[in-house]
Amino acid sequence: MFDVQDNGGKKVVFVKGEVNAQTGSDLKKGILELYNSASSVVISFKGVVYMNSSGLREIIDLLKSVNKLKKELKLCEMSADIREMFTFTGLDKVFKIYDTQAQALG
Amino acid sequence: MSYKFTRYGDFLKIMVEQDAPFKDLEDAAREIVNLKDLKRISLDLKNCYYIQSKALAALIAMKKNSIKIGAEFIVSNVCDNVYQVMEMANLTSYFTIEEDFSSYTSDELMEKFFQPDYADRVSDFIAGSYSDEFRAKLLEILEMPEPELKFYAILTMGKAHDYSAEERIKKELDSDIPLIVKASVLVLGWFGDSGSKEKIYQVLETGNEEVAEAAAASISLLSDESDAERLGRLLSSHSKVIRIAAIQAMTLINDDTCFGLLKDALDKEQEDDVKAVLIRAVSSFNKAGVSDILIKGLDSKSIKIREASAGGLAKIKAKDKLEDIISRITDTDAWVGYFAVKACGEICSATEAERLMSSYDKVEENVKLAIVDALGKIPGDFSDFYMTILDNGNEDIRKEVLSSLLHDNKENAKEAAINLFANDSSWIVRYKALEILEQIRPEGFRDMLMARLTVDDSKYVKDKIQAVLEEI
Amino acid sequence: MITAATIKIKDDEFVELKDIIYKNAAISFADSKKYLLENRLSKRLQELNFTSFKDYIYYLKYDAKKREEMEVLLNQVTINETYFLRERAQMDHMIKTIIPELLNSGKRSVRIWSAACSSGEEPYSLAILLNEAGLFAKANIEILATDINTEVLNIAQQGLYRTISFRGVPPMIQDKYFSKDGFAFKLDPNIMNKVKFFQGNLLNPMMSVKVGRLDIIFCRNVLIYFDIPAKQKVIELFHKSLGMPGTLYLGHSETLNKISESFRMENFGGGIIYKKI
Repeated sequence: MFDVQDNGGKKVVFVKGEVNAQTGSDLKKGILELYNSASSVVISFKGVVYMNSSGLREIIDLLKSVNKLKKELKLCEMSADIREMFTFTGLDKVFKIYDTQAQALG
Repeated sequence: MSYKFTRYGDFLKIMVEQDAPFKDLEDAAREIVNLKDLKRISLDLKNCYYIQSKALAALIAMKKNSIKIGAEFIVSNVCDNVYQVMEMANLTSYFTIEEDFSSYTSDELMEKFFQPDYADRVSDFIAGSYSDEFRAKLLEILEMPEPELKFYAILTMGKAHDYSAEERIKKELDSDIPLIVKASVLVLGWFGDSGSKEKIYQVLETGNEEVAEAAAASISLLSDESDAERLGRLLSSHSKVIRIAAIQAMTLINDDTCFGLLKDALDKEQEDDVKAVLIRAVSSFNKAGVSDILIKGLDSKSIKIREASAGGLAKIKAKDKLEDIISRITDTDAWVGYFAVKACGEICSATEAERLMSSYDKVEENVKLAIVDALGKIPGDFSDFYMTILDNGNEDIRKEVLSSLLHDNKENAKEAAINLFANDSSWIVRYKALEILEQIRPEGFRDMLMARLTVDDSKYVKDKIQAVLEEI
Repeated sequence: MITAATIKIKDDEFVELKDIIYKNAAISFADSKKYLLENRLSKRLQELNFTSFKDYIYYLKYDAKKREEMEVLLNQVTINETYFLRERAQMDHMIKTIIPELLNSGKRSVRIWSAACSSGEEPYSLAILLNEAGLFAKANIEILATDINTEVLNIAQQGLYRTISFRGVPPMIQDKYFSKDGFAFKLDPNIMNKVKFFQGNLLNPMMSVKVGRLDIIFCRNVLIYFDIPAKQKVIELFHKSLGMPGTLYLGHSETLNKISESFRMENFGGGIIYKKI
């Protein structure tokens, strides 16, 4: 459900398919493990075809855990629809969201 | 001395006092040359409410000297008055102007919550550098009778994930003031505080416009299996505000139950603008039948619904309805045509592009523009077509042609841009041509820019030329 | 503002939109105010199903209803998002300090000017608070309210407001002074009668004749739209129109520093006031 690319200490996660309650929870666990060997993770939403509020909740949960670890989480490459979910819920102010992967890494 | 240098590693901050005499600024500029190993120098004008034009020369000297020692020069915290002085001297594009909230005390920062245009960014800054001091200040604000300040204080604590404030924020759900309730509702949604869900429903059901959207957002974040049905019942509320909020929450939950209920609501809803909201909602479900609903919406008598449907088709990139979409390019409502063409730009191949081009002469100006734009997005080189309309009397058509040429054929784009940059009568076209040349960087670019700088009569183009010259 | 998705404006779009606004309203937007257009217009773009500012610019240029949309646009960018009892501390200061001082000095009539009253929330808020404090019974208080924009003055004179105007209002006040009228709320005619509206441009030399001699001026979040010479003109007008002692309330972010030396700044704890010298 996701590919990982190592980018000089920062890991980029390419999420694919749907982010709902089930896949979101797996995604959260998978990404949290990455923090064992990285201090910063960038999630690319480019390959996400669908997401709902349950999936979104898992991403919030992930951020919660990452903050506890005092590590960094960034999001990028969202479709207009997904971006709108973040803005509508005000979460665009909570997450660090970038247009492109390069900006997120920069 | 009315200025102070503070060094943080390879970053130097120059704080200037209010009413600093320009002589002092000149001294500061001279001092820069003697510094070593700096990457960034920031002149902080937070205390300057005015600047003499003479002082501007010192600022320019600072920038020049910074470049000499290999450092980037930034002017930060420029207030409106000072900005205007710089603007009159045509210097706003010469300097990199930034905000640096770290120069402010926590009291000064909280004060900025009163200014709607600053508040969001200040709040982001505080959340990003959250400390016990900030936390204490924000808690202090929560006890004050200032709604604007409280609104941002709550949001800021939310952004900073300050869960220790959760109970305190919960209390504000009972506030009399909608603005404050809104902030608490949002933050409790972020915090995942399911215990507050019932209360948030009550907030939604008051039908207050200010808070309804926020309540919808948070209910969706706190939702479980039971919420779709419950929200579904609100779709027949007498209050339009509540119906729309329910639609928004269900869009976010986005499950099968919500889809079914929203589809039913489309048949029952009487008001056109709520129907248009429903159409937009349905178009964000990844379900079979969505494109059929949207196509049907195109036949509505209401322009709002037709446009929402066409917009939806563009959004879902309904490949299975390509034929229906193409047939709407010539719709009597030019905006339906516009959205239909936009959809084509996303889903058509070179074969169908032919049909866009053949519709060109039959449609209104805005649809023509959309056609040129869409062709640029469709794979293939349509230069021949563009060339036939490059001398069109409408400046926007010429501008769109330039953009699409860039996508399809760089060589042609370069030639056209060089020509239009020098000769077009419309500044809008010359501006676009310049943007394109900036990307292509043709041979002799600098000379071209210098030549135009003296003769161009548009302030916008001139500013842009200066900015590009600065860069190259 | 939170919750409306922001649509980013590209450089060329910004320049063109800024030009359109300047040509239609003589208001100039500095490059640093890009986010302001994004924040204020994104919601409107979404209502129209648009995904970019280019779409919107074409709408302004090519739609049959472009004149109407120009008004919507100008309303969005020029009207300060305002509501009843906004930045109330200054209003309370007027009620609790300035007016009692005037009355103690023997004055029996007080004239207040809301110099850019928009749709009326500010002058009406003043009238409501004056009424709450029982001051209309103690003195002859006149409230003048002007704005350059006739549209907003029409709204003000109808006294009909939507919930969004009540974001800072305790329900007690709302219930007492407003009655529900469909989706809107109608202001008590007794309060409406306390405010005299008329159209006026702050840069018009005739303005001082129109408003006469005043004791208190509110002019909040308006100066930011003017360049320095225009600011100076407006402040000169205020100075000329105020009697002694005269009080001026400006917006939170506004200052007279280097604009005028004819006022003394005072901090009253909840904000700043300017006293005529």
